[in-house]
Parts: sequence; structure tokens; C-alpha cells
Amino acid sequence: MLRDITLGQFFPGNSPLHRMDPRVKILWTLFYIILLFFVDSYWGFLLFGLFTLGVIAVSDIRPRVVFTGLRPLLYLLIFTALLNIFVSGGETVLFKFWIFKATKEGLYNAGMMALRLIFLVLGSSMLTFTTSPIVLTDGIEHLLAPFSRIGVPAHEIAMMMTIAIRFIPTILEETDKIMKAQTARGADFETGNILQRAKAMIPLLIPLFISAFRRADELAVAMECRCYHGGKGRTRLHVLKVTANDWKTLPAALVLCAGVVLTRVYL
Amino acid sequence: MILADHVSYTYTPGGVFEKQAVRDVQFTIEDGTFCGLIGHTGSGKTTLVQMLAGLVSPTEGQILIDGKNISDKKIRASMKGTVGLVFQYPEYQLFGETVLEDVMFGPKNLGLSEQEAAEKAKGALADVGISGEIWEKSPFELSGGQKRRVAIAGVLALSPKILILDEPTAGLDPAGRDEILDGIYTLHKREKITVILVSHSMEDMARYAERILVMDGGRLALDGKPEDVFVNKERLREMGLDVPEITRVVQGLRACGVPISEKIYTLEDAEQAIRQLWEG
Repeated sequence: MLRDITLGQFFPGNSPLHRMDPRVKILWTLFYIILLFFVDSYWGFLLFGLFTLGVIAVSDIRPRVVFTGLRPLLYLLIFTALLNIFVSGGETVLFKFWIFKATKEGLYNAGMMALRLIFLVLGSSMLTFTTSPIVLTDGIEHLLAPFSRIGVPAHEIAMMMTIAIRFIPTILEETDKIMKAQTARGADFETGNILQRAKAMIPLLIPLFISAFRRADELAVAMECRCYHGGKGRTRLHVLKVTANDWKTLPAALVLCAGVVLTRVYL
Repeated sequence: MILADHVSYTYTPGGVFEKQAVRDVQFTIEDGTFCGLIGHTGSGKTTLVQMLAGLVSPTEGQILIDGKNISDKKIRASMKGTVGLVFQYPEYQLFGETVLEDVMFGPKNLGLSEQEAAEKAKGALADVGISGEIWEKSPFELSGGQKRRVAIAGVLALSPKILILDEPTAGLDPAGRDEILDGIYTLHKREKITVILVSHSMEDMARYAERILVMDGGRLALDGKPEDVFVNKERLREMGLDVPEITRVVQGLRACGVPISEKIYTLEDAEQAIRQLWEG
């Protein structure tokens, strides 16, 4: 059950999207998200939809996998849609319910907001689906590097992210093991009311925390033993390089940008 | 009695990472047997013992304990505590504020009162050689060997009829190892419980087990009394295992023409046989 988490997962592959420089990919993702907030019509979203489908097609990732990633979003979508329908205000009232009234404008806003959220998740998950966590943090470190002059600890942030990501599977495995061990001692994680279940977590959480601290300690010592002393003067095995493959994405981005501007001006 | 009936286990069936860990394993173990389970890393031992303890259900076949199928959730609930499983490095499951409290966790889960649970816990701690002055300490202050023994006591306190230990002595010094195994052996003799000991050490197998199951690539490769298993010297070596060290010494002596029995698997037997030869 713990192995079914897909959000933020990486799928290895060799598509043009996988081969892109992570820095370029991160910047384009940010650009995509910013652009998303400039869209103000359904025609603009249609354009975004076609563009996103194109990106998915190029990525070699099965569309089914991409869309199942939306599932955790469902409740948030319903909640924001309801909020928008009833709270937006507006002239044309569709129906009334107690103190709430649904308006045409509200319905329109709700649809826009839902689409915006969906594209937000789709776009950013294309980044994590096609970029291995290590490469991703490497890209983030590079992009943050200019800010280190004003005191942003770019290397430290990237190192912390790398370590955190590296230990996710380890900790999942450990959780599974401790859960089994306590089940073998008669613990019950599955039945009872919410209070009983919360209490049943104690024999799982305490050993888990203790081993996480122990692991952190051991890792720190191991890094120290290999003379780790931060990012200063550190060279790297894989040097990031912007290639022709990355430049090819520029026209696509420009087309999307121009399209959004056109929909804003003319529609 | 434990009956494994054509048991198989596949991880993530149908997926990209599909892996068959246990393949068509079949055996019965009579009550009160001290049974060894041995095999190379990745041979399916750990998956097999987790199935025997009812923690995972076989993807094919069934496991019957005293004739009852433990894949059934209700039956498993009614048999809580019948099979005790001590995991590898069990000290990582400790969580209690005091040693005694931690060991009481199991019996309390079986529905025993505070007092009964404390009785059970004290008995179990005594069995593993943890004396009274440590009972009120935090389990996290103890030494590695003591933690291990407290964790084993945590399972013994359930009074299991079948006790399974997955490499209980990994990473311990020789003295700590003997103490734990001798403790378990004494308990086995006294309470007549079934013990399944998973181990890499052929010496431990020769010393304690009445019967040895050898796993290889998910299959049950050999099954029998220690002397019958250790005869298959070549086969064991192919599987990345070996006969006990002393047996190799005896085989060397035989190769040099010393008339000593080839069925010698423990240091004590070897000593006796050599003395006999010496004294004529």
C-alpha cells in the first residue's frame, strides 16, 4: 500500500524530454505556470491542453500514468469549484439554495480555476516524471547559485533535498518492516476508531524516528570521513550542458506564449 | 504441525518488477521440532518465514497450521500469538519507555491484563537472561546484545507454540550468539515448542537443528536430518553454502588416510572421535 504513491515519481526513459537540461526544464516549467495565470478564456485553455498533450506525447510516458497522478487532486478540485460557484457573485442567478446562490459567472470562474489547477499539476508532474531527483536537485542548485551571493545557501539546500529524496524508499521499506514486526507481536493497525488507530501508530513511529536519527548520524559521520565540507570548490561528475536538444524547445514555448497573448487580445 | 502446501510468492505480479521469491515449496514440520532453515541471500527464506507467520499470504498454495489455513483473516485473528516471528535485527522494533513495558506490548495485544502481561514479560526476560535490575531501564540505553535479547523476549512473551527466528544472531559477538541460541534451545526443550531457526551458520545448524531445510532460488533444495543434508557437499557448495568447518577438517583427515567417520558435524563429536583413535 505504501508503494502506490505516484506523485513526484520518476520514470526512466530516453525521450527528448528526458534528455533536456534540468535547468532549462525547470525554467520552462516555471514559465508554463506563470503563463497559465495569464489565460482568461476557454480558448486559451484549449491551446494549453493541446500543448500539454503534445508534451505528454513527446515524453514517452503512458498518458494513463499521467492522468492517474491527478487523482489525489479530486477533492481539492471539487472544493474549489463549489467555493467558486457559490461565492463569486454576479448577476445571472441560476438557482438558489438556502443562503447560497449559484451564478453564471461563478460557474465560469469555477471551470477556469479547475482547469488551471489541473494544468498546474500536469505541467509540474511532467517535470518530475522525466527528471531523476538527483538531476533535478542539481538543476535547482545551479539555478540558485547566483543567489548565493546574497546569502542563499544553494548548495546546502540542494544537498538536503538530495538526501531527503534518497531516503524516501529506505524509510518506506523500514516502515513496512517495523509494521510487520509489530504485527507479529499482535499489534493491530487496521481496526478500531480514529483514536485507537492513532494510538496504534506509537509502536511504529517511535522506532521509525529513532532509526531516522541514527541513520542521519551515521550518514553525517560517513560524509565527514570522506572529507565533505560543503559546496565550496566542489567539482562534479556530470557537468550540465545546454545542447541543441534544449534550443529546440524555444520555438514551442514562443508559440504557446504568442497563442496565449492572442487569445487575451482578440477573444 | 505446520504444513506448507505448494506455496509460491510473487512480488508485484504482472508488474515490471515482478519477482518470484518462493516457488512451489512443500513440507510439513511436526510439533516440537527444532528445524533449521538455510539458504544463500535472496533464496526466499525471509519471505517464506513471513508467510509462515501469516504476515503475507502466499500468492499460490496454502499454509496450514494445525490444519487451519492462515491466509484466512478471521482464522489468523483467532490464532494471534500462535506463531512468533523474530525479525532480523529485531532491536529496531523497540519503542517502550522501559524494557518491561516494551516486552509487555505483545501479551497486552493478546488481551491479557496488566498483571498477567507483566508475569509473561518477566518470564520471557528471564528466559533470555535479562536480569531484574534492567527491567525499569529504557531499552535505548542498553548494549546491542542486550537490546537484541529484549526484542526476542518481546516475541517470547506471546508464548508462541511455534517460534521462528530470522538470523537472530547476525552482527553479535560469539559469546552473545551462544547465549541467545542456548537460551532458545533450553526453552525449546522445556516448553516443547517448535523452533524454526534461519541462519547462515552451518555450525549453528549442526549444533541445534534436528532437521534442515535448504532453500535455493526460491525452491526447497534439500530437506532432511543434518547428516543427510551435509552429505551433499557438492550440492551445497553450488548453492553458495558449505558444510561445517569441522566437517571439512575431518574430510581432510580422511583424505590423508586417517580412519575417521565422515559423519562428524560438531566440534564435540570430532574431539571424541579423535580421542578414540588416539587411545586406540
